[in-house]
Amino acid sequence: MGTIDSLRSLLAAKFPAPPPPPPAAVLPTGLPCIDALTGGLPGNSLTECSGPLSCGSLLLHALLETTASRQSFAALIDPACAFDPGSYPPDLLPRLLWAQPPSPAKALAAADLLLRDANLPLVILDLQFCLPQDLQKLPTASWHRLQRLLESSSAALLVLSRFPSVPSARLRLHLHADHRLAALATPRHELAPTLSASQERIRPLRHAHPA
Amino acid sequence: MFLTLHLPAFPLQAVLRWQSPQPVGPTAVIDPTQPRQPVAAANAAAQRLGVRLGMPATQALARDASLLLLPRSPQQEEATQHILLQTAFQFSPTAESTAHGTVTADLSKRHQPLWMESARKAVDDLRRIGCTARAGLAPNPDLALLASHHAKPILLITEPLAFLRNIPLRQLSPHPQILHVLHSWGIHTAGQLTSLPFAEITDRLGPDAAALWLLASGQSQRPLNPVPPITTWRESFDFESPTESLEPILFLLRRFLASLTNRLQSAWLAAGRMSLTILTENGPSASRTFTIPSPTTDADLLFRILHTYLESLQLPNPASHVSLELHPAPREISQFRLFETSLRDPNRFSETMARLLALCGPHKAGTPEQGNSHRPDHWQLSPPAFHLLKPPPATPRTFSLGLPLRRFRPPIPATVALLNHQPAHISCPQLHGPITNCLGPWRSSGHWWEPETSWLSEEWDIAMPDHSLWRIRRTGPAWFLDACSASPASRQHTP
Repeated sequence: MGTIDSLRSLLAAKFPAPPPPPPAAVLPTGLPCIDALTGGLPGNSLTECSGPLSCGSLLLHALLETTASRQSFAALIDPACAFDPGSYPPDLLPRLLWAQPPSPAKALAAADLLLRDANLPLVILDLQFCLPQDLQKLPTASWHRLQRLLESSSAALLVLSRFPSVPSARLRLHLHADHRLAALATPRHELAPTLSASQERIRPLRHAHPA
Repeated sequence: MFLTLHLPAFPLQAVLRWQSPQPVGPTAVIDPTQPRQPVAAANAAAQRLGVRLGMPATQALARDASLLLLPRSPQQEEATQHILLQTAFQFSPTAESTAHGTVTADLSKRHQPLWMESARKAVDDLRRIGCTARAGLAPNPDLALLASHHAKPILLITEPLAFLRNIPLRQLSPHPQILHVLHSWGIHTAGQLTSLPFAEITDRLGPDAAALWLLASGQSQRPLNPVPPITTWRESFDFESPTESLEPILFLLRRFLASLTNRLQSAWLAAGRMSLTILTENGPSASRTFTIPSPTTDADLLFRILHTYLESLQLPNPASHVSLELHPAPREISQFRLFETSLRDPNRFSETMARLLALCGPHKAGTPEQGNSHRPDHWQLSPPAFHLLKPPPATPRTFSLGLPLRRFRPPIPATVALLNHQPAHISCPQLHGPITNCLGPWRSSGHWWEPETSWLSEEWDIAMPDHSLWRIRRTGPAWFLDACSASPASRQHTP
């Protein structure tokens, strides 16, 4: 044991641990239920938000509004090619990069590209319309690799899913809502407060490693 | 004041600029187009062995078997002459291509303290791209040319008579007959010539001798023959034997970019576009122009763009020629407002977009833009131009109603039963059952003036017993499931 301890101390002296990452900025979502719970999406972290389709759509709308008001940019990776630009105000779209990879596996590769690029502070991966069996085929290591990549960047990655399916998510939220047909004739800003959120997991941030 | 830049042994320097590694021993350039292939230029080591200009190649080799003979390259000489001219244009809009390997610039509009600095910068810039230059500064072009041949590496002539006193007449390039007469008189230097009266020389030997006297006295005046500024920065190379692998091309492009970006930086410009041409042996060529989102002189970044392209390029035949041209643009200067953000690195983002499109497929990534039609779901993706976006005007946001949709692409054919002209039951692979409630119809049409492209649709929003909300559409007699806007969490959609 003495030898191992001395070896450890020698390694620690020779290769000191990297400094802890700076405190991550939190990106407000614009949805009261999430912002009141966590303050928003934590930067350099992977956040998974699961729930029904309408909740994901309303969260997406709120994030696009926040992005436009901050004069920032966002990317939406949409392997199911289900995003409907016509459902959103036209002035929110010029700041959005919409990518349509052919499969969820390619969607992870697209997220990796955009996070390494580090130009866009928010990357949204929409898996709500993907087949569950396709999502189950995604290797767990890919999700952990994305989280490791995020730890050395300042971007936030949000995964929208129907059911919890991201093992490496640092923050996992679940959204609830019950929208009836009358919701289709309701102003959207009145629909956002009808959502409720619950926090299922929050993990401490690890030390940053070079990607 | 005039500045003359001179490259000694110009044909040799032009060829050696792309030689790697540089030869260290005796080296000479021969002209293979001439009979007996005479020596066009030789380095100092070769000259010490007795190699002289105009000497046949075989005679030069007889001096020393280790002599390295290289063929002259008119293409490289032209490119090097362009480099010389571009260097001269940094200091003056009036520049002359005086001879092969020699250019002259008019510095009369520059302040006197900047003359030496200009010459120093020109020599340094040329050294950075592999050329050894000499610079001469003098009150007239002919004297500046003479000074450049005597410079080590810079010579400023402030007293022409003192400089010219001991210059041999042969260096002033006189007419051979006049030189013969003057030598027979015992006149061998410029100082000896100018000691004779100008009028007597002119009367006896004519106007050529008068011009020589003025040159020898440092009083000759002639206007420069200006050339138009060169607006393209180009480098090219012909392979001695065609190459089949990518490495030699990448190696050359790396060196091209190092040279071109250095020259652009010297001219306070940046690359806005980049054109690459690869010619193959007896086959089609590859040519591509790259637009640089944010003009730059970063050679690494430009190289990455070329590398990404070449990795996926397939050529049917070996490459025999490669050329790269940078189209300059002013550097991008922007002043951000306090809360305004932009892309950190537009060039890197452009590269990422190229990779993203390679991953997703053509036209599968970009910014959504409405097509030229009101047809539902008529959108197209255009390349994002985030770095060019201006802050939006402070106007209230567009009012949005209802839940956003998630579309099925393509729409799913469905069978819909009507009751009282309203959908009452739906059946399709994704959805089956009675419709509990509906909103609609929302009718739209377009292109009615063109029978081939006219369209007419009727949309309904429907609710199912499990409280899921959907959008269906009727086009003619056919029904389609178009989109979903809400569904219970327990339901699994299969698009």
